[in-house]
Amino acid sequence: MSLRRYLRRRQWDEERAREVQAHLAEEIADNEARGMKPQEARRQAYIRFGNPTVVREEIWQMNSFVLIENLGRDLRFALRQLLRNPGFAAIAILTLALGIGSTPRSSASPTVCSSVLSTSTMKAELPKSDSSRTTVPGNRTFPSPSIGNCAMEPGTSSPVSWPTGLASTL
Amino acid sequence: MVRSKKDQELLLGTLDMLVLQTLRMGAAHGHTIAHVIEHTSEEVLQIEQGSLYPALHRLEDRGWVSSYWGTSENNRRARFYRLTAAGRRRLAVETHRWQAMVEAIGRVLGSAARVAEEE
Repeated sequence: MSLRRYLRRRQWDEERAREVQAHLAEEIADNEARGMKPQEARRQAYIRFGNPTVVREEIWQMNSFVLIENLGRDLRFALRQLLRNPGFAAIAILTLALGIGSTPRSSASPTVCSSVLSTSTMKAELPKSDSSRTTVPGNRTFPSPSIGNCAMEPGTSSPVSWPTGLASTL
Repeated sequence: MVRSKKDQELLLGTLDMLVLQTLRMGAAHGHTIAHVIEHTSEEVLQIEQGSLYPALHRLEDRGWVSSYWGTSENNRRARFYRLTAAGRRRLAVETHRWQAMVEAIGRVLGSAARVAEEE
């Protein structure tokens, strides 16, 4: 595949359009020679040819980076929509930011979300029987990665109590 | 219209092959190519003539045909297509592949026909 065609697609478009017109003229002349009336000759020529615009489009697309052009159009559309509705945009961006922030980037660092949440809510409000044995997920000293496992290992830590609203949010 | 992607590929490949074969007899413009294919197939293959042009464009892009503006039999300006050496080689490959496929399908259908007769 040569790349030149991407640079010359307008030229190709005109060229092929002229070619298609020449083809139709030839077909119409043939039909008239067979004794059709001019209007009927023209109609039959177009029926046999199909839609010339579709043909042009097909060739134009062959000469285009369709994927990249569509992506560019989608991005411009998305930007326009966000600008039109800044409140929605702010909420969407905040949600995404929190979502991305709460995904552990490496096992060593506690995540943004859990650290924010633990300082603001959990430490203050969790009902604790023995504060020295309370652990927070994400903390490296927690022995097992999930809450389910934790409940099945008696003796390693106190039964974990979660404010239910918070658990489902996390 | 063409129904599925697979169908489309099969038809496109076939049309390319038919166009290349037609051009073996000499340079021709799109209108002639369409009519030659229709006549030599005894009107069994009716191509939507428009679909010829994307096919020709693709063939030219791959270097299998070359084109130039000339004058048609009826003294009209028309774009003529000529088979290139690469196109000739391509046609040989395509023809060989097509015949192998037709034979294979023929064998399968042949055995199916025998089974049907025995029943």
